[in-house]
Amino acid sequence: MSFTKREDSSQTVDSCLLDASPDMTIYSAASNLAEIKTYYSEFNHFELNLSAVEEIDSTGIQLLLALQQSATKDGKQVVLNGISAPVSEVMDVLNIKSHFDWVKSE
Amino acid sequence: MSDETDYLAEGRQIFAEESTELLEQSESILLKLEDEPDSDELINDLFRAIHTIKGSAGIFGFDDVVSFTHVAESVMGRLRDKEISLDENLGSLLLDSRDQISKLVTHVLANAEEPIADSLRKSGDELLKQLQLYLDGDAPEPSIAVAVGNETDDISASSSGSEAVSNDYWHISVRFNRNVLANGMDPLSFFRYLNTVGDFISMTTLTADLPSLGDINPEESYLGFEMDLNTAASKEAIADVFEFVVEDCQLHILPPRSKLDDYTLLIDALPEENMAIGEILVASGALTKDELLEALEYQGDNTVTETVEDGENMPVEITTKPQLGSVLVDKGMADSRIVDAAVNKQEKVKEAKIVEQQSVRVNAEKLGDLINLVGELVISSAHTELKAKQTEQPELLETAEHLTRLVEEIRDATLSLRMVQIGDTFNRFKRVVRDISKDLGKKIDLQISGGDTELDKTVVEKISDPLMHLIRNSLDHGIEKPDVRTANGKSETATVKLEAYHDSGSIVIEISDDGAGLDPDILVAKAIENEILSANQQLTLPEIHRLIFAPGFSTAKEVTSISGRGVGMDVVNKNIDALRGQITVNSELGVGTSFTIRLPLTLAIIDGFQVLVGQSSYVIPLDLVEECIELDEQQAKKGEYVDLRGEVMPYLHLSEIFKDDDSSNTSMKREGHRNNIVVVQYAGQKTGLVVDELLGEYQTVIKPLGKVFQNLKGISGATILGSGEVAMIIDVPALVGRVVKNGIDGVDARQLN
Repeated sequence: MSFTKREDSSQTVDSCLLDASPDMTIYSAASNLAEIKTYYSEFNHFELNLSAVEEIDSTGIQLLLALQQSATKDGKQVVLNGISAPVSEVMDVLNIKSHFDWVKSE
Repeated sequence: MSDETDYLAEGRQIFAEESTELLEQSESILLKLEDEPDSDELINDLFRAIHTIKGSAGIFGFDDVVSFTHVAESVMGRLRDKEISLDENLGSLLLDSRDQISKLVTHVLANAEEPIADSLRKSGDELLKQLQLYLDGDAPEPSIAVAVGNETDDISASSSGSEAVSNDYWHISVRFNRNVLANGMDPLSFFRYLNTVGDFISMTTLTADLPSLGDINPEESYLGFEMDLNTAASKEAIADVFEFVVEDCQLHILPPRSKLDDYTLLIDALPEENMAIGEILVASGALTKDELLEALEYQGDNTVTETVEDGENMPVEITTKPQLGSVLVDKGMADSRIVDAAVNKQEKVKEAKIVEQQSVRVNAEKLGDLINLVGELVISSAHTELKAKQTEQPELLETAEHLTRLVEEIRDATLSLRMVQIGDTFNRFKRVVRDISKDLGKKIDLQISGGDTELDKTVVEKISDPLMHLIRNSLDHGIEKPDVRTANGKSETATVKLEAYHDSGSIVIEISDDGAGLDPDILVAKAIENEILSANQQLTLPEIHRLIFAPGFSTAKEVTSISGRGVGMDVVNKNIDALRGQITVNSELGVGTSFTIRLPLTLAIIDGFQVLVGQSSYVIPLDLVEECIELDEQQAKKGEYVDLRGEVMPYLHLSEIFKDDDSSNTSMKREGHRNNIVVVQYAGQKTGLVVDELLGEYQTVIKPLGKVFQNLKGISGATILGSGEVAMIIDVPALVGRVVKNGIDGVDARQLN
C-alpha cells in the first residue's frame, strides 16, 4: 500500500494521518494517486508524514502539489508533518517548500 | 514499466558510445597539444569534449563522473582563458585525468549501483589534489567575460532598440511536454545538473497547469519552471544541459542583461497568462517592476497597471490576452531568433562536431543483415541476367543490364557503409608510444601516414590487437636506448612509422622502425634452444626472420611488463591469417625492422573474374587480375615460364592444381584452341594462371567453405553463380606464394609426378 492511514485514537473523525511509502517515484505514481484519492473523498483534514520516503521524483512532487492545490480549492486542509532528506532536497531544488502548509514544530 | 527501462538502457548505450568517442578524441587532442601547446582550437575542442561528457553523465546522475570531470573541466577552462599555460606536467596530469574519467565511466556503466572501488577513488583524489593546484589563484572563474558579451549581442540582433534589463543573471524558462516522464526523463535531474553548471539565484515552480486530483494523470508532467542562474558558462553550455529533452520541452534561455524586448517575447511565448509570468519574473528578480510594466506596454496591453498592484505571487485568473496580431508578430520574431541562434551555433561548432551531428548511428547487426541481403540480391540479379540472355529478347536484356548496374551500385554503397578510416586506430597508438617510451627511457617519434585509408570495420576492429603487439615489440625489442643509439651513430630519437595504403585490392599496413633489427644468429640459436629448429637445418634469411612467428618464441633476454613472454607474434600471425591476410617481416641488423601486413579490403562481396577450367567455373578476385594474355604454345614447351614483355613470369596450370581431367590444356593438344593466361599480381609478384576460357567480370558473394573443405589449398571460398552452380574462388595469395616458394624445382617436380 502506498499511503497508509495511521489508526490513531487522537484523530478526529474528519481528519486522517497518512504515512507515505518509501517510493514516491513514477513507478508507484498511479497507486499513490489512487490511495490519495480514496482518502481525499473521505476526509477534510490531512496530515502527511513523508519521513519514510526514500525516493521521490517529479511525479511524487506533482502529486503533493496537486493534493495541496485541490485541497485549497475544495476548502480542505493539508499539512505536512516531517519529511525525509530526499524529499527535502527535491523541495529545495524546486524551491517549493513555501507551497505547503507545515505542522508547526512544538 | 519495461518501456521506460528500455528507453533508459538505450540512453545509457548512447552515453557509452558517445563518451568513448569523446574520450578518444580528448586523448588525441592532448597528445597533439604536446606538440603545439598554444593552439586555441585544440584547447577549445578539448574543453568541449570533456564538457559534453560531464553533461551527459550529469543527465544520468553519474555523480562520481560529474564531480571529477567538473574539476578537470575547470582547469581546462582556465587553460582556455589563458590564465594558466600548458606545460609538460599539466599535459601529463590532464592525460591521467582523462584516464580517470574513462575508468569512472566504465565503472558506472558496468555497475552504476555500486560505489567506486577504493583504488579508483584514491587515484581520483590524488589527481584532484593536483588539479586543484591549477585552480587556486587570484584569477576569476572561467570565461565570464566571453559568455556575457557575445550572447547578448547575438540574441537581440533582431529586436528593435530597447535598453538592457538590470538582471545580472541568466534567466531560464522551461516547460516540459506532458510525455517527458514517460520517456524516462525526470525534470529534476536536469535541475540538479544545472546546479553544477551554476548557482541558482531563484527558482520558481509553476503549478498553474496542474489539474485537480480527479483529473491528473500521475505519469504526465504538468510543472513549469522559471529560474535565474549565476554562471560563467556559455548559452550553449546551458542549453546542453537540456540536450536530452530538447525535443520534449520548450526552453528559453536569456543571457544576463538581455534586452527588454527579449523578455517581452519570452512572456508572450510562454503558455501561462502574461501577467502571472511577469510577476514571477519580478518576484524572482529577473525584472524590476518598472521593467515589467514597460515590457507589457510594448505589446499594447492596457490592463496591466491594475493587475500589477495585486501583489499575490501566483494569480490564477486570466486577466488579459495579447492581441492576436502581436502574438503573430512576436511568434515570428521568436522564430527568427531561433534561426539566428542556430546559425550562430553552427558557426561556433567545429567541423568535427558537425560531422558527428550529420551521422546516424546504426546497429552493426542491422548493417550485417543488410549486407547479407545485398549478397543475395547480387546472386539473384546474376540469375536474372542469365535467364534474360537465354530469352534473347532485347528489351528484357536491357532491363536486366540496368538492374545489374543498379545492384552493383547498391553493393558498393552498402559495403562502403562499413568502411571506416584506420586513422582512429592508428591514433590510439600515439598514447601507447608516448607512455611506453617514457617507461623505457627511450626517445621515440611515431610517424603516422595514410590514416584516411578506409577498410571494413570488422577488419579494423580485429587488426587493432595485432598492431598493438607489433608496436610494443618494436618499442621494447627493436628500439635501442638513446645512449646505445648515439654510440652506433644513430640519432638519439628513434622513429617508428605506421603507414597504411591501398595496393591492388588489398590494404597494406606497414610498421617499421629504425631500431636494432633482427639478429639472425640469435634467432637461429634461440629456435634451436626451443626445439623449433634442428641444429643442422639451413634456412634463408627471410625464413629465419619468420621464426619470430613460431609459437613460444621469444628472444628477449628479460621479460618486461610490455612484451617478451613469447606469446605475441604467433597470435599476431594467427589473427592476420583469420582475416585472410598475410604478414611479412623484413629486417636488417642494425638498421631496422619492418612488418608488412596485407589485408583484403572486404570480407563479404568482391568483384570477380570468372574463368572456366574443364567444366568448372572459378572466380579470381578482379582486383588482383592484371591482364589476360594468350599462351604461346611454342614458348610454353620450354618450361613453366613466359616472357611477359621482357619480364620472366612463372605460370601455373589451374587444371593441374585442381586435377581437372576434362580440361583441354592438360594435354594442350586440342587444335585451334587458344589457352589463356590470367596474369595476377600479389604483393609485387606476378604469376600467370592458365585457364581454358575467360568468362568475364562477375560480382561475387563470398560464401565461406564448410569445415570439411577448409583446408583445401588454393581455394579461399565459394560463390553461387547466376545459374545456381557453385564456383570456387581462387586463393591467389596462396598460389603466388607456392610459385615463389617452389621456384622451378617445385614446378618440375610436380610435372614428373
